Amino acid sequence: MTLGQEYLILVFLVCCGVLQVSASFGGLKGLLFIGNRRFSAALGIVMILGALMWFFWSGGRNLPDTGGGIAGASQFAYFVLGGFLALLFTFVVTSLTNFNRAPSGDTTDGLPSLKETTFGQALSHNLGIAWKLYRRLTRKYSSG
Amino acid sequence: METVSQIDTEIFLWINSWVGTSLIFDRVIQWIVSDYLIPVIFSVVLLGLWFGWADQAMRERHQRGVMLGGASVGIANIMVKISNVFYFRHRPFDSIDVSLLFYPPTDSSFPANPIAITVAMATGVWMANRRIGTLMYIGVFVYGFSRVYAGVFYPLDVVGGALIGISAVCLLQIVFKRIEPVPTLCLRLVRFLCFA
Repeated sequence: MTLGQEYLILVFLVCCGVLQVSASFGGLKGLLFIGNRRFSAALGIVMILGALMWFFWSGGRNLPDTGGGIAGASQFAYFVLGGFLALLFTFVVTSLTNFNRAPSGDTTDGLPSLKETTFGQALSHNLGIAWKLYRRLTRKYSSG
Repeated sequence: METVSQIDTEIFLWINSWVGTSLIFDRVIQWIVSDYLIPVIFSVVLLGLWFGWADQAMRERHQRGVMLGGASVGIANIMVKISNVFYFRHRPFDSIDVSLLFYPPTDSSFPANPIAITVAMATGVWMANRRIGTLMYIGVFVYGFSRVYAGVFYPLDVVGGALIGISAVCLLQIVFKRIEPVPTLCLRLVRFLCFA
């Protein structure tokens, strides 16, 4: 495995862990892998520390980009990719595992809606509102 | 100017002379000085602040700080690149005998790019949350010290990097105020998509 691939795994795991810790502190139940907030926070901390220890324990991380290290631009790209994958993974997994969570009436207020619903439910609800609004506006201003 | 450079070199040599005193301390410094540890920790702090607050008003304040800090990283990077076009300072190990705990980089020593980036992130957060921002500044100080200790930067390079990081945030904050309501609308759009 190359250093770039290992770095990507590190970012993915650490971002997943941070999402669990921050979602449990923010009370965003719809983003938790496990229903219990304390267990989720503990799982997040284990993921963060475990990933950091795995990455740094083997040593040999201080390498120039000409000798197997990662250049600054690539490092940024790997971080963005790893963070995006972590968000996507968290949103998909929690939307599936918490599927039976009943959607609340008002889910248009962003992250706070994830206290009661899953990301998938909240997003589809908001996109539904946007679609209805678009249809109403286009009907109102159409010449036909 | 000559005197300033001389004092800078003397402080550098004094700090770098501690290398080898404790093998455990050197090992810890090698972890901290890495290109990956502090930048990754700072980036995930931004991610955590974006999501992790129960109070909506405080969360929005954090999200604005994260937007400011995150965007300032790009501005700080550009400022460092522009600075490097006009002024190139050789690394300490190029001209003097040092104990090196890091690989020898080939780019300009002044201003310290990693410090400019981490200070930009810390300042953005500090604008929104003084306590976490101060903790990040302590992290930057440790990072900067470890880079000097490891023999890759002079102390003035670190100070220069820090000034660039702070300037980038101040500049961007003025821009954000001027282009308001664009940042607010961006935040609302992201909120509509349940990301904020």
